[in-house]
Amino acid sequence: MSVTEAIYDALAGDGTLTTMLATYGGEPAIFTTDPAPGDAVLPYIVSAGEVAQTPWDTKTTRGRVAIRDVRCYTDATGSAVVVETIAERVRALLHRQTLTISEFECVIADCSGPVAADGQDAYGRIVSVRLTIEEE
Amino acid sequence: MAMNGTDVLLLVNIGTAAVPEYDAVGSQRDVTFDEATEEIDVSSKDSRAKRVLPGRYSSSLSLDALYVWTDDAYRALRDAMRDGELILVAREDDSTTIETGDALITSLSESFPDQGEGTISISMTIDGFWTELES
Repeated sequence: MSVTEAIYDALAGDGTLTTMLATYGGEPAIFTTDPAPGDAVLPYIVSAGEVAQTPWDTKTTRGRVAIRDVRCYTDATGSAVVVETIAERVRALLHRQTLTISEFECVIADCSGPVAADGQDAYGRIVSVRLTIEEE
Repeated sequence: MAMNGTDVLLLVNIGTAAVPEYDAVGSQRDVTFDEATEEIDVSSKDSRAKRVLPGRYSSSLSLDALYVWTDDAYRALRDAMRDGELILVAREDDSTTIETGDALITSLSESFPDQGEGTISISMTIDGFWTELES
């Protein structure tokens, strides 16, 4: 199952979002590892692994509910406008969208957040994506 | 030995009456089989004890599943409901079809909540008795 790939493709494929992000290795700074590489430059996004997975089975089918956090970070400049704009764009790209996930059908996708996750050196916003997916 | 409810399925004839072809209703979540016998009270002044005789036997079942509009078994149930026809159903326990019965669909409900899975709920009454199959 590649929820990682599906979310990455949805985010990296959107020009509006990628123009707000730095680049890393010539690609939009969207990382599927946690933590992000030490030499990564803000703003960037981290989405790595599910925070929870529960069965969504029936007697004849198999499925899962996967919850994943998409964390957006920008420099702490004194204004949260940029990080909030990035996070809202992430939400728009994932909420109520039909993601393409290999070997699964995406039945429901909804988001909660963004919620604040500010630090001393960087501002953060977390969008939690809840995916209800069924094996094909 | 106790049984996981997962291993009990409702099957529906999607073939013909002459050559049945049973197919499990797709994405089943729950099925309940009910049987009941009405009680005939034959008590009298002869005794303080209540006396009873078996009256009308009945059997019904209810099914809950995800809505899968392409599912052949579901479509057969829906057609039977709309056409007002009995449909042959079967009960499968642990991968073995153990009994069959002619069912009348008494209610069929489809539910589609916003950002929630579509579901179906179907109630049926069995015409006559279940027919046990030889194992």
